[in-house]
Amino acid sequence: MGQTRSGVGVPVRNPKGYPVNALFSTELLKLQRQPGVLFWGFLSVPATALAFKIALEGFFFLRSGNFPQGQTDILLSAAQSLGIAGNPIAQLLYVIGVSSVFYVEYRFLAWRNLVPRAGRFPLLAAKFAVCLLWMVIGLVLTVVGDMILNTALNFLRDGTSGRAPIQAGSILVLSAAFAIAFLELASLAAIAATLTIIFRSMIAAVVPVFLVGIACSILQAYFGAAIASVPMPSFAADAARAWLFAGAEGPYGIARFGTLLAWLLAAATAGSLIFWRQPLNTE
Amino acid sequence: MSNGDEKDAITVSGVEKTFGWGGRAFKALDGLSLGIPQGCVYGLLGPNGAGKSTLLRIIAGLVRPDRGSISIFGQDACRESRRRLGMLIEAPAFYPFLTAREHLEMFARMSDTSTMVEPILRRVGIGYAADKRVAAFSLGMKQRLGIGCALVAHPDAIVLDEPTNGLDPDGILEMRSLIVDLAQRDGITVLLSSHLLDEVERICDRVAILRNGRMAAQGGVAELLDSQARFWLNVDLPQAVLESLPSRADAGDGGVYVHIGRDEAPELIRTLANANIRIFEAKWVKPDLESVFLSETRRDIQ
Repeated sequence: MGQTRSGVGVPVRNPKGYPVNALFSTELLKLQRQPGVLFWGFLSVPATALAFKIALEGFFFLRSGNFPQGQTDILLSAAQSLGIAGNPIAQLLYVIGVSSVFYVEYRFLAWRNLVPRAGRFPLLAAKFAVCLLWMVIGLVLTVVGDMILNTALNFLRDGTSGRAPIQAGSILVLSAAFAIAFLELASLAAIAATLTIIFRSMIAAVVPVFLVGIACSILQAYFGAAIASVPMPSFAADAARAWLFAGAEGPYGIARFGTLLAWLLAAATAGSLIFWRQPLNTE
Repeated sequence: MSNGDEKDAITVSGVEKTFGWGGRAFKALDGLSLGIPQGCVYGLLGPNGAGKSTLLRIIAGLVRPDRGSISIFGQDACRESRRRLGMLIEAPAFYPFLTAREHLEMFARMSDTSTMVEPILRRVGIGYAADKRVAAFSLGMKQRLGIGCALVAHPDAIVLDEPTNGLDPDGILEMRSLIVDLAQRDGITVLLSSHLLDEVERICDRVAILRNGRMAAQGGVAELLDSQARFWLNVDLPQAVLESLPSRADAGDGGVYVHIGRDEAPELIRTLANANIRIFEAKWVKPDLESVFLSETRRDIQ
């Protein structure tokens, strides 16, 4: 090497050459250039949650002439707002987003451009990292939106300072709630990605995950806390949230964390192994 | 670990690939071996289903062979050795929501090279459309962008599957001269598959003809055409020649075609002259690549 190629100068090449940063920025660019996928897949959930809460407060104000007495601790309220991650409709939207990120290469037959250049595993890792980043951004927006709304409501309610009282330990609760929501969404993303890879189809990933989510919600409504021991991600996340808001005593919540983590690792490993061996003769 | 002939840019050794199982199994490649010498333009020919695309996909790492191995510049095919290859596999596949410039920048970043994309855009003839989204591109423009993407990482060899597909006649001429230029000026090895035999004959130094996943014929283009050249004689008694060489002579073009080696020609002429057969004209007639291709690929059918 070192000689001029293609008439465009001497290449500078990293011999170790795992272009993970390049892959990550590429995946970010691709997602930014698909605003529909970015909004509906990753940002519509916090936007809708906030809009729904504003609509409820507005409706209450119109009916009664004043705002309802809300959560006094805005951090605790924000922690509770993260429960949106367990909502089946929110999960449907997130699955659509994640599946779109992975399916785009099958849809446009683009693995043939990427795999020879970057190898298989770094490509999957970059895609998954981008999904997780946007999920984190969505969760942060949920928290920030809830806090701004509660601050504004407190201000409107009291007519004085918008500052609501913050109880000690609420930051820990918020952090734990964030971790639970993130783990739940990350395991969901890993499952959706794996199904997209297996079936090379978006619809084949979205429909089963949504149906399982709905089924879990129905079972949970019917059986209540009794079903929390079934090691499903949504049961584990809900049980962990219930444990957290009930005072977080005992190792029960830690076990539910473990369940979520196990799902995340199992799905990510399965997806990687399947993609590693997947023939891309037709994409 | 090194493998293959280090003088070859790409070495394919005993590669087998079967798709499907049981009764539906289809053997796309059946113990194929070939070597693509560095710096040459190598044409891969074969009818549909001969295994050309499967071979290119195996070289690209998109499909794993069941048996055999690929080496690239003397190294076993892996992600690192494949970085010395630029590839345009089958129809060009791009994201319609990105521009041509964004595609090239993306592949340059991915290849970890400090490539300026502007000269490549100009070189493949789409500089005027650099900031247009690919959704608005014709097939020919996508093909040019595909070549640009193959060049962006400063490859030592490029693999092109049907590179002139979708191009207009002017575009085909430009692409031909670009490929020749890449080989001659930049010293890049080019492996291309094409159905356009005329194109292959014009630009390739060597060719391989595949049939049913096996090598039907290979060699230098001139050498291959020469090996199938026939000796044509215009004589006063063609019937006598046909009768004296029953299995090696055919009537045609107002004379007799004789299937002999070049070194046998003087002896044949002497024999005919001794038999008082008057020879008005004698010449070697070389087939074109299309005739060689048809004779090699139809051998099983006949």
